[in-house]
Amino acid sequence: MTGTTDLDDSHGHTLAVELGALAHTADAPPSRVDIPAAVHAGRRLRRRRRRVRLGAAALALAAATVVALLAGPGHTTAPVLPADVGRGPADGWQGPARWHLPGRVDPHDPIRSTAQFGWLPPGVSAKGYTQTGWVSDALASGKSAPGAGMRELFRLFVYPRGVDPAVKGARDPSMKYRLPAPDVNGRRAYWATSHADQPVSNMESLLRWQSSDGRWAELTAQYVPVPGQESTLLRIAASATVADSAVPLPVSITDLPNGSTSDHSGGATDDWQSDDTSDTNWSVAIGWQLHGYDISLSATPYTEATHAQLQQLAAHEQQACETVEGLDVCLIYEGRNKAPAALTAAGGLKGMLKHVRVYGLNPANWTTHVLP
Amino acid sequence: MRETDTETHDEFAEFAASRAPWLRRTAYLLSGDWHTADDLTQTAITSLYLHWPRVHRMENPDGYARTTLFNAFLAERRSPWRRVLLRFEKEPLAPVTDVDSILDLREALAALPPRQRATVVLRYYCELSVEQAAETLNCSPGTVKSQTARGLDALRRALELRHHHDPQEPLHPVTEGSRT
Repeated sequence: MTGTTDLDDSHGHTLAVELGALAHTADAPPSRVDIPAAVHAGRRLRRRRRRVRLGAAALALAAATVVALLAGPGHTTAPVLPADVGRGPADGWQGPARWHLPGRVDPHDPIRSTAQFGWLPPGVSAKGYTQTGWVSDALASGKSAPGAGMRELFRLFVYPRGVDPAVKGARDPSMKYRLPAPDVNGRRAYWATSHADQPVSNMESLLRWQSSDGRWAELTAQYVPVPGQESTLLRIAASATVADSAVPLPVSITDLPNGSTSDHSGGATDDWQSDDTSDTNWSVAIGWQLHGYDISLSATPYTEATHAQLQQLAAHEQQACETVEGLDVCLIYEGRNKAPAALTAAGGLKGMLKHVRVYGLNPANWTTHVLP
Repeated sequence: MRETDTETHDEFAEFAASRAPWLRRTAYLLSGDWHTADDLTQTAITSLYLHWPRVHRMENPDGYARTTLFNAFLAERRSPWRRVLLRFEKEPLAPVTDVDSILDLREALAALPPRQRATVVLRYYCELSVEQAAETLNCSPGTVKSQTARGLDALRRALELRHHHDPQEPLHPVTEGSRT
């Protein structure tokens, strides 16, 4: 090792050895890295870049793309679609009441649900939603089996209308084999796998089926024991609801600096990796960009522990926080250099915080009109 | 495809296949879970392909691949949702080993802020010099030194805390108002 170190040689060597041991763990799951898919995606990006260089024609194409994005499913004001299937058995419903009040899609809400869990296995509960761009996942998790180490995780995702993941656009290209599965509510279904002869595994399994509105839904299960897994996943799929709706949130912001653009990322969820089912174990975050810099608004119930964590974070992030109505509410700016002029003109993070409304801890009071 | 394209493609495929396991292991140290490690590796390899015509003529394509991976990691950690998850998540311990110290290290590493974690992994797993780490992270050597020092200090304290079962420090009192 060269250069200045902050450990003496023996400690540095020990750390290097232990990092190596951690990275070379023998029980790592099979790799999902797909080099042909990377080549395919890289070629697509190269083609896109070439088109941009072509000039006017490319500009027209880019504009069309932007229009298409803005007109995408999240921006529709169409009424909520009918439920895909009836709710699962009442004794199995453990939906995230905190996160779902069925309603219309609100173009001012950055977090949307495209699917909800219905029945879930004993010990597993729905935790909320996470969103990146236009992609939204419903999340559920259970407790880890004694001695197993990993908790069961479930994700529910709906492809945009017109996208058939068997043809193009699958989120996980390494799951390239399609093995027959029983129909889900009378509609086509299949297992997507990375092995030609193995529909499910205890590391990761993927069931796809076509919902009643034609969209393809996808259930991903991780760390679920293989015995009984197929019937469990089929039951989860059959009771899931495919429908677009806005997710109410406990905060909103009434004004954004000029130049702000939504990047439609964020999440609203209970801590889905935790066994803590208390009323304070949840958080929301939404993000947008200001002249290329990331700004986010987060809220979580005030507790001494989360409060202390926020104070630790303050050492390496630029943030302004207030405790209001039982919530720790923070605006966070991520940028290497000084804040953009537009943020300074708005009074900085503290100034922006004045435009944040807080709706308290009771979900009945929350709003879907989150962004101006 | 022209012959030269085919050769370039074959070169890339060979390079990517040989480096993917190394990138994945590094990504695991950065992210703390294999699922994210796969995603980061996939992103890095895609970016590598995108720039392969230039990269394969470089003296050190491994360095470029490493830089791409670390950029992907830091970009992913900047998303608002990821930031909140970092704040609260307790990722499950993988059934990777029964060696307690390794599991402790994994937890302690995961608790570091992303840039500190990146510098520690670059310096002590990738075995880069301060200058090389600075080049990878596009920052000054001084920043690498300070981030590494803080990271190591936090690791040391976390590991000592676990080994000696010391009580945690008292929590800060409640304070209303702004805390920029």
